[in-house]
Parts: sequence; C-alpha cells; structure tokens
Amino acid sequence: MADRSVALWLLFRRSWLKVLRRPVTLTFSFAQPLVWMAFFGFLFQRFTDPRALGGQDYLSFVAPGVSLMTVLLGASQAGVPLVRDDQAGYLQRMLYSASSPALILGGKLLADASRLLLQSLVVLLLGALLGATLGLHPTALPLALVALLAFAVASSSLSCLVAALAREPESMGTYVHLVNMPLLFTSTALVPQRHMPQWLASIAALNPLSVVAEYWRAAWLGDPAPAASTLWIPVTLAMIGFATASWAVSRTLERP
Amino acid sequence: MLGLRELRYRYPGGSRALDGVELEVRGGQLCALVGANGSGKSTLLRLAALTLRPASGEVQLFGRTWSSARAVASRVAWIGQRAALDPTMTGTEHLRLQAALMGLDRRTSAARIAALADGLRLADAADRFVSTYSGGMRRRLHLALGLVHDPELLLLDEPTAGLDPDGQAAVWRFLAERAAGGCGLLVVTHDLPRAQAHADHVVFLEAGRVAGAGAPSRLAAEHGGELLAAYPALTGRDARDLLGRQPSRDAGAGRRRGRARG
Repeated sequence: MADRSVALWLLFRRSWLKVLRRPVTLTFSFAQPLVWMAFFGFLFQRFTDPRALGGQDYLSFVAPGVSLMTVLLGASQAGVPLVRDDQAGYLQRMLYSASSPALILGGKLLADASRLLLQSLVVLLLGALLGATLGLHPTALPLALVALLAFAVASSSLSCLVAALAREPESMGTYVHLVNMPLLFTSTALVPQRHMPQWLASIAALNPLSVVAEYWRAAWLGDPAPAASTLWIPVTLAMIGFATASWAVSRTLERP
Repeated sequence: MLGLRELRYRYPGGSRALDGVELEVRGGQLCALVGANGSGKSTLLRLAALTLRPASGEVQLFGRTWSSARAVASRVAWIGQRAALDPTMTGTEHLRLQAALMGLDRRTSAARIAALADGLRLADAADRFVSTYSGGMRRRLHLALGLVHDPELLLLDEPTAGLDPDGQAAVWRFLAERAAGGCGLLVVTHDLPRAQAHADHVVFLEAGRVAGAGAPSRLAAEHGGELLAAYPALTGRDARDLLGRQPSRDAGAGRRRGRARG
C-alpha cells in the first residue's frame, strides 16, 4: 500500500489542472480587483486622510485589501466544483475508496489555497503597476502568509460545507452574495478602522478578514505588525471549517 | 461473500422499497438481479455496498457486518448506473487517481491500469479527455474505475446500458471471466438472454420482494426452456416491462407512486 501523499498530490494536481484547462474563471477573477483599484483607488484618494492611513495614499492602502478581496471572492466559489462532482456522481466514486473524505477534501483545499495566494500576489503586482507603493517586509511575511492561507482554507471550507449540504449550484450563488459583501464591508480590508463609525469599527475588530488584513498590510506596507496572538482566529476557523466540511462531504456518499 | 438477511428499506417519503429480501452471492458466482424499473434493484445494490442503511435486516460482507462503506471499499466495487466521470480529465488521470485513492502503489497501479485499458478496449483513448469519449467508452471507463483495486466482490448496476451489442457482449464476457477467477458478482440487468447465457444464479425482484430465484437453466427448464418465459410467470409482469415501457400491472400502481428507482 502506497503512502497517502500520492493520492493527496493527485487530488491537488487535479484541482489545479481543472483551473488551468478552463482559465476563463481565473482570468476574470482579476477583473474585479483591477476595476476596484483603478476606479475606487483613485477616487477615494481625494477623500481619505493620509494620517488615518499611516501616511500612505489610498491606492497603496487598499491594494493589499483588494488582494484579500480576491481571496475572499475566489474562496467563496470553492464549493462550485464540488457540486459539479456531486451531481456527476464522481464525488461518490472518489469517496467509495480506502481514502478518507478529509484527504479528498484536503487535496482540493490545498490547491485552492495555493491558487488564491498566487491570485492575491498577482493583484498586488497589478496594484503596483497602477501606482501603489508596496514593498516587501520579510520579517512580517511569515505570519502574513499563515494568516492568509488559513483564511483561504477557512473560507473555501465554508463554501464546500454549503456545497455538500445544499448540493445545487443555485444555493452556491445565494451563499456567495449573502456572505461576501457583508464580510468585506464590515472589515478593514478596504477602509481603515479610523474612518468607520464606532458601531462598524466594533464589528470590524471582530471580523476575521480584518485580522488577516492587518497581517497582510504589515507584510506589504510595513505597518506595525499585529501581535501574533490574533493569529489563532484564522487558524482556528480553518481547522473548524475543514473538520465540518469533511464531515458534510462524507455524508454525501450515504445520502438517499 | 455477500449475504442479505430480511432486508427492509423505505424511501425518505415513506414508500416501501425493499421488503424482507434474502440474497446470497458466493465467490466465483455471477448473480443477475432482474426486475422492472422501480422494483428496488438499485436500492438493493446500494444497501449491499453499504451506501444506504437498511430500516431493518442485515448486510453481511465477507462473513461479517461492517460499520461503514469505506471500511470495506478496498474489497468491493460498487459501480452505479451513471458513468460518474469528470469530463475535464483524461482516462489515465481518472484511473491513476482512483488507484491512488484505493492505496495502490505505483507499480501495481500501472500494471492494473494497463490491463484494464486493454481488457476494456480503452488503451487507444486513455490519454484523451473524457469529454471526447463516446457513451460506450465512458461506460467502460466507469467500469474500469470500479475494478482498478481488483475487488473480490463486484456490485454492478446495469453495466451494459447504452453499449452497442458488441460492447455488451464484451462486458458480459469480461464479467464472466472475473467470476471464473473467483470474484463474486451481483449484476443488475434487464437483459434476460445475457443473464441466461452468463449468470450462475438469477434473482427476480418485484415490488421490493424476491419473486423467484435459482439457476437460470433450472428456471428456464421449468418455464418452457426460456428465462424470458420464467419472468412473467414468477412476477406477474409482462417481460416487455424489462425493456423500460410502462409497467403493465395495475397492482404495481401503488408502489410506483414512490420514487422511481431500480
């Protein structure tokens, strides 16, 4: 019997190949961030107080946030291929095997997280091309990567959980609209906390996307790095999300 | 290998699917499960594969009960009616992934994939995307995926549906070879002539109950030499019901209000 790493690698590879063989979705995933930075980045430049942005211009401030937005939007779609596999019966084919549902989901989520990381870096590059002043701060990067990858796994897991429970693409559309916008606009990804009304600032402080945004900005803008103690939030969400999504995926095999 | 004892199952809506089914499949035996649409064949197969839990009764695999499908999946092939494939993958990618999920090492995996691709006439198309496959090729790849781990027991739901006559004959020969090699097979089929030619045992399922069972030669001898004549005599149905037309018996109306399966 072979090591399970071969299966994990093939599942990882399968998810990547599916994206590369149909690159339209990947290509269009850069359109929204680009539009956001090109229009809102320059528009809000006039209305934002650089002192509230740590002395940066708004485009530089928002570029890391928009790259996180790309992660959020991409992760929320992670359940769509799972619904397709389920409807084709292929998910059941994979599950009726000696491998655990956690392994089958794990290979896919690793591919999703690595793709989302790459997408976020491309968006940062696009931001830099538009004029954002970004610089890598290596000391802050490791924690920022952990935060971003954990958030990507948590969000993708949630999407897969919804997919495995709902089992239809229409529900995925509803989920995407229901979760993304409130999560994005109650975070500090696009707006600094000091520009928010108090009630919104209180919500933003609890929003996991805000936590990740702080780490991500520390890595790319040199903002003061948040204490490592808040890292447990995205990491815990990733673990809970993965466990519950694995449970939901395993149930699809035995459902009437 | 497979023993079903007093098996009962109800669909989620409450209608009865199986009612006290008893069935046995031994190693080296090809058992054909025959019945009209809605008679409960696919449900029975899923219960045998442990992907459904019975309302009552027992499913024994290899002489014992099991807690989950995954616990026994490395010894069983459950091959459903639909060709469950990913059109964006090639045939080889499907087979490699399934072999890895079954825990086969690289060498064993490569040998099995080559043998199955040859045996099921897929070798020339193995590196093509499944989206370019014909219906028959998809069915054969679907079958190959279920067999890649060399299972001892095969549970197959209409494995020849959608195949041309040559393809059907090839698959039946392939299954008979598996039985000759010691595998146990439970094959859902509507094809009585093929069942008579290849099966060691035939079970007629009607309205969730076993309406008749035995060696095809014996059942045929008792009904004028043809298994096709035994089916209506034992089930009270017209043999043409097996071809998918509307069932002919009014008595079946009640059970057909439930979800159409099998």
